[in-house]
Amino acid sequence: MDIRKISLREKTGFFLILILLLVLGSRAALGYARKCRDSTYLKRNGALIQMQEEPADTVKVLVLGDSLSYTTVSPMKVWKDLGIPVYTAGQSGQTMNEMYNMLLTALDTQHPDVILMETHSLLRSAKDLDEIQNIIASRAASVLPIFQYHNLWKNMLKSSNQNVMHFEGFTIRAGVKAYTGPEDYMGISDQKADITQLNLLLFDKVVERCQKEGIRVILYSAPSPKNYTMEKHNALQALADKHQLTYIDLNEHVSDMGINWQTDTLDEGDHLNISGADKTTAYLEEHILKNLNLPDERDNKTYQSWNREEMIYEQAAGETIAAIRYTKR
Amino acid sequence: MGYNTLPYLAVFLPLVVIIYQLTASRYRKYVLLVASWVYFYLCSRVLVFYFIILTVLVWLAGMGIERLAGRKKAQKLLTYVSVGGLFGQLLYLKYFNFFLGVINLIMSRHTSWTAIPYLNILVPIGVSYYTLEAVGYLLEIYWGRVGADRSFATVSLFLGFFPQTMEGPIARYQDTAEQLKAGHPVTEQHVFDGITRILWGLMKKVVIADRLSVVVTELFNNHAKYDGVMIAVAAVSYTMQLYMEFSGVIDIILGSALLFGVELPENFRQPFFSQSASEFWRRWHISLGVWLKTYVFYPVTTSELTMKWNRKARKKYGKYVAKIGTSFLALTPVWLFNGLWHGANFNYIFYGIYYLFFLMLEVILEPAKKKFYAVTKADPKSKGWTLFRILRTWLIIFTGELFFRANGFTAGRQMFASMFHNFGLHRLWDGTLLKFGLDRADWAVIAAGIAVVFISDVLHEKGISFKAFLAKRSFVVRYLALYALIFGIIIFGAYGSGYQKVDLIYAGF
Repeated sequence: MDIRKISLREKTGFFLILILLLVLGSRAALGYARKCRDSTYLKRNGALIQMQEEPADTVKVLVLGDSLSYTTVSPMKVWKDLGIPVYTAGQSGQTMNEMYNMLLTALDTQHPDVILMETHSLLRSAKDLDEIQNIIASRAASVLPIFQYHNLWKNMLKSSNQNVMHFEGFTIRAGVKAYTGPEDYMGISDQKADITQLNLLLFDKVVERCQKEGIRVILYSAPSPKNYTMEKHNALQALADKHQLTYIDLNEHVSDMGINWQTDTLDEGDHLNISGADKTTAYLEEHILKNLNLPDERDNKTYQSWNREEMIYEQAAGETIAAIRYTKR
Repeated sequence: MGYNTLPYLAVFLPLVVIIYQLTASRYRKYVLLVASWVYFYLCSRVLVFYFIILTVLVWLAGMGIERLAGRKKAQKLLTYVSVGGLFGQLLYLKYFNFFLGVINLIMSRHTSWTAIPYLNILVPIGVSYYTLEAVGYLLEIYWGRVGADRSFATVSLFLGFFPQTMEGPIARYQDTAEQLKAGHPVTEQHVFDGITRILWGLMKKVVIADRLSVVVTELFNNHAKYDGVMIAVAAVSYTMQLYMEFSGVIDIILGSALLFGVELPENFRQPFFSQSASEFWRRWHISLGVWLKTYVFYPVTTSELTMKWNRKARKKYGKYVAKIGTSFLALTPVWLFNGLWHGANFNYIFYGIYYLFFLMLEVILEPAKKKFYAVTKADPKSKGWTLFRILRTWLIIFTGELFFRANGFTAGRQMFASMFHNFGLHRLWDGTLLKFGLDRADWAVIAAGIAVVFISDVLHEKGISFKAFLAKRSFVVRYLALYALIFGIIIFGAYGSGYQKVDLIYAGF
């Protein structure tokens, strides 16, 4: 094709139509993603969609992080015990860039008082170029969501949707696979693990943005023998001290929380199941959430649906926790 | 930074194009050179200095070989030392630990033997490609076909031009050097052709190859769980993945180079239309085939030893046996080199020997074939016989790729043997194919994608390029084709949530 023979009008027309198609395609993809909510194809994008669907100005505590975040904090338990609206916006394998992106998405509609940040995303170390690729991709996807939800055409071919019930970002996970490694997995060490420069940079951006919005940032590490060591604790503590942030490492309070590694882990000490999450949530309520002086919203009419949700959760979670804790293994 | 990644396509490449265009033409080759070194640094960090030192040595050796033109012995010595040195560093970087492993394996029978620990060798990106280019360049000077380049920048750019660094094509100095230093302006036509080629390559890589990677990984990594037709599916799927991925990335490479007005040599010419194993290798990874033919096959064939043997054999055993013997002498180093070039593994060595076997079979059976057609009066050019030969070649290709991809030679052997147990053709439609991580929609996309590439290959085979085909259509058709390509990649691409990132296969060789 001799490009010189094509008029300027035709060339301009080509790009205008292309942009129009991308914008229309993006709107259609996003609209469909919100409607279908099928976890089969939404996968990690499901958390973003759910966050966007949350009624505006309802979330007071927003939990960010990777899978260790949404397996440790149960918003419905906090609601039942303290009446604080917590939302878990964790994503499987959430990188610091994705965490920042999730924060921005949340801030479009929400004005939380506190961000509870699970720290494992800080310790993820993708190659710099892969991370840059992720950053470019997420920016492109935020402008043109067709890149993010491009796979949903497969969902249109399906006869039924596969929706997993979630309670403000939290899912009841019933699996049990005991951790049989050493109880004192944290050990003793003066060494500090490495946190990549890119992760530190993105962490700074998250903290800066929160400070600008008047949001308090609290760091916590989920109990996980597979993912945490004393070296990592030292690095995270130093980072928290540098930014004057509260940091609580739940790996140091395993016995205080009453975590039983025979019953409370989903996958040999990698993640917690509902029984473990119930215990960590109780501990965080006692040592962090109670001290935030956030109002009890249980009688607030805006949150009536939360009370209904809590009743369903109470029954489902109660039965599952009992089955886990009292089944002979 | 693979050629299919966003940092390359959305940041690095456009940035280089803009800087290149804004620079005066006589300095443009320096822009490409610096960009190539930056690209090398981004892929291999400080090993870029290894590459620069190597290119300095090649540049000096080239001038030295030319200067010694009047002193044959000294020139020969310098050429041998330089080429030997280049192969020596390649052997050390890629094969040292392999040979160490072989020694440990053999010596492990002696109880007193303590295994020699492996060395932690950092291998710079693209070493297999630019080493061959450097050897070719020095031999061309030695044979007097090209003059040594006085410009270090041109030599370094020829060896390390960033679109070629990871996967070739392995160019000859006379193919690209002039174009690289010419500093052609970026024209609207080059941009259009370049981007179209890049999009075409991306479609092959992201829509087809990366999707097939899911099933290939499952079948090859857990091969003990599968047998019969599933092993055949593994072989065919991997062959398709490799073709779509390698030719797709080569499209991206050629498209990238075209943006700067540089036309790199083609690496593929519809390989699945080949009617024999030898023809396949003239159509598949062409630049490696040309390199082996020019710098291994011809020198061995015309060497004194081979010529002498040929003369003696002709007298003693006749023309037929002499031809077989000469072919064996010349083809053996070619195919051993081909196998080993892909990596330090027994399955790659087997892969080379495998093709040596079929090429020798072609030579041996040549008179019988002629006799067969004469006796049966069959027309070898008829559609039926052509199709038969193509399908026969497919069998050779698929089986070869099964061993090539297998996780070691033993695994390859086991997979090949298990293909003949419990064949169970029904597993192709009873839902078994949906258990590997791909659903019906994925398989439909793969089939449609392969069909599109097949149609394009048919057009090329008939001498019609897709570009020329589109040029004859109205602008509405042209626009629709481009939109289809762009949205085909965006919508059907195997990227994002739910798909694993797939590294470039040939960058690993």
